[in-house]
Amino acid sequence: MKKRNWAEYLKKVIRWSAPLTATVSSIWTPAPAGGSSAALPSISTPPEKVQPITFAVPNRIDGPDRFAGHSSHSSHSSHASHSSHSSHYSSSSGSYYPSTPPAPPSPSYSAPSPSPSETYRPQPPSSIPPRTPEKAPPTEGAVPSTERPTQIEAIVMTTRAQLELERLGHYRGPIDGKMSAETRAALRAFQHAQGLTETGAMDKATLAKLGISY
Amino acid sequence: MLPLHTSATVSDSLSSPLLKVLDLPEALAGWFPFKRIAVRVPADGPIIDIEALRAVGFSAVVLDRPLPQGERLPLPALHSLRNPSVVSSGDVIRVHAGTGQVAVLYRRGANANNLFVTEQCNSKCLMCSQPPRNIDDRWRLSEIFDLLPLIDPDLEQLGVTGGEPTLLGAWLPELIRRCKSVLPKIRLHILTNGRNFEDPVLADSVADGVGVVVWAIPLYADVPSRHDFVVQARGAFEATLKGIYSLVERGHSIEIRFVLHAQTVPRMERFAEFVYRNLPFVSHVAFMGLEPIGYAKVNRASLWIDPLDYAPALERAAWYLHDRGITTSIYNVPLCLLPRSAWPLARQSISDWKNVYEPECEGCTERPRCCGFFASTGPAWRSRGIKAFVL
Repeated sequence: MKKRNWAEYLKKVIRWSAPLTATVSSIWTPAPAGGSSAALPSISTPPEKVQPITFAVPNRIDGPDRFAGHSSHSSHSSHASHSSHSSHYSSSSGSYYPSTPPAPPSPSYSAPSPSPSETYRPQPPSSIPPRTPEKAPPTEGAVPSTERPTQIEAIVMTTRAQLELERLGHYRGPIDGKMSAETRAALRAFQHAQGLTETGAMDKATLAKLGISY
Repeated sequence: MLPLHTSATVSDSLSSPLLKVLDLPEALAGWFPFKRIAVRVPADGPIIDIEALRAVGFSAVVLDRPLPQGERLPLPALHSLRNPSVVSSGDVIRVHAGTGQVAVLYRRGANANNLFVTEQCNSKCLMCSQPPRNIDDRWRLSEIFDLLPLIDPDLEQLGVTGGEPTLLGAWLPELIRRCKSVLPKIRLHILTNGRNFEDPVLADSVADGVGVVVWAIPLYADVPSRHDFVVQARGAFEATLKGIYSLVERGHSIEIRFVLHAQTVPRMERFAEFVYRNLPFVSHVAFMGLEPIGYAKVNRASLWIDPLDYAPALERAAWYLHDRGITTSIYNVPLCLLPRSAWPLARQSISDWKNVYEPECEGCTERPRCCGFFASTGPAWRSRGIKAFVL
């Protein structure tokens, strides 16, 4: 059998596949006009301004803009109603555990009795400890709502924004959930840096750029 | 080794003993109920207004600085942890407000998380690492039901241990169901002696576990006399085998566990053949080094054998099964005590909260692949073969 010239073969393969690669690149890269000479940004020259990486979260762009209007400067003392909420647990009876303990696993297994009719039959749990209604944190989870945010939701969102703004270096104030002048200034600074409309408010576009979804 | 317990100072009474510890950004994301969260407030981070945390409804804060006497915060504070690295973000802890005892019930990112369901057991194995107590500890199950919603929902592996979990009776299937509903990706690894599954009704009741649960069942010999002696229960061998068949009949998957000590290794190779002939359907066979704790300490005289002396037989038994299509693993035996031919079956296994290395292991090139030692391994349990592999 004739020995194959692999070097020649390889050249052929490259020749066949070259046009294909060209097509592929024209589809997947928006054709840099010069063809193969796509200028990669040089790695050595640092950009004049270092941009922190921010992941924009698709923040229900078509959803309602719930937090844009939030302007609470108020202190938290006005949220007295929530204290009853937060004490929900302790107020019940002092005991945290469900008041009904699990039903005893009735005749507990000991020696298997000889007669099959007498063996222990697992019974469906007769009293399941009440499942604590955990499903709904005060933010109502991810359910988009057109309603005005509750006081708690507003504090939560402001706090989240403050944390992100602090991380990005726009905010130096306390993380207190208050829409203070400092927070607004930080929002404006961030919006300016991101090329957004400088509203100083937590609008959808800004929250999305901050990586906060709701 | 990172222990699961430490102590702390608690500034006020807590509304709930079980708390999910989270950094503030994650805490605010709303994935866990606010009233079950203790927010970590690091001293080197931004200034966080605790009053705002209280207004949101968080349960407590965890400080990494001591709280000066007389300083009061709007929320109960957990501070001055004796070993601060025990508690980190994502963990679920139980805090005893009176004594300040902190136990980690769920550790984010650990190689093993276990639900300890009961201390009761119907066997009394010679080498039991968790000696059973016949006490009413049903509170453990309520605590577990309370814990489950605080576990990261993407968790994929969870062990269930005891005690004997089948003593939960009808609560065992309920536990399986709740794990499945709160942790959609979960695979449960339930340690049981399988004896109670002899009863078809109990075996039927765990139908929800098919495809989710691996039943890890110990079998210590190919003959009843030896197995019954090791587990100190007459008739256990037969009941366990019936239990295994009963589960397999219903589509469950089984792991057989064989603990290596002087009472079991003499029949190890015959045991391997027994498993191949009678239980070829099992999904995994685990040969496990002894953890020298609990009853094992008391029974050292009848249990101790230097792993170096059983290693050749172990290598043969393990490969016998593996070659016949049954996945086989060797756990808890350091690599320096095994012949190199057994290394492919050796797993790096010991839970990270009880895993240590000996001084000799310093500089050993195989350390990254080696299981190391149980923290409980004292001088009485040291093999003469411990050595470092060096280049």
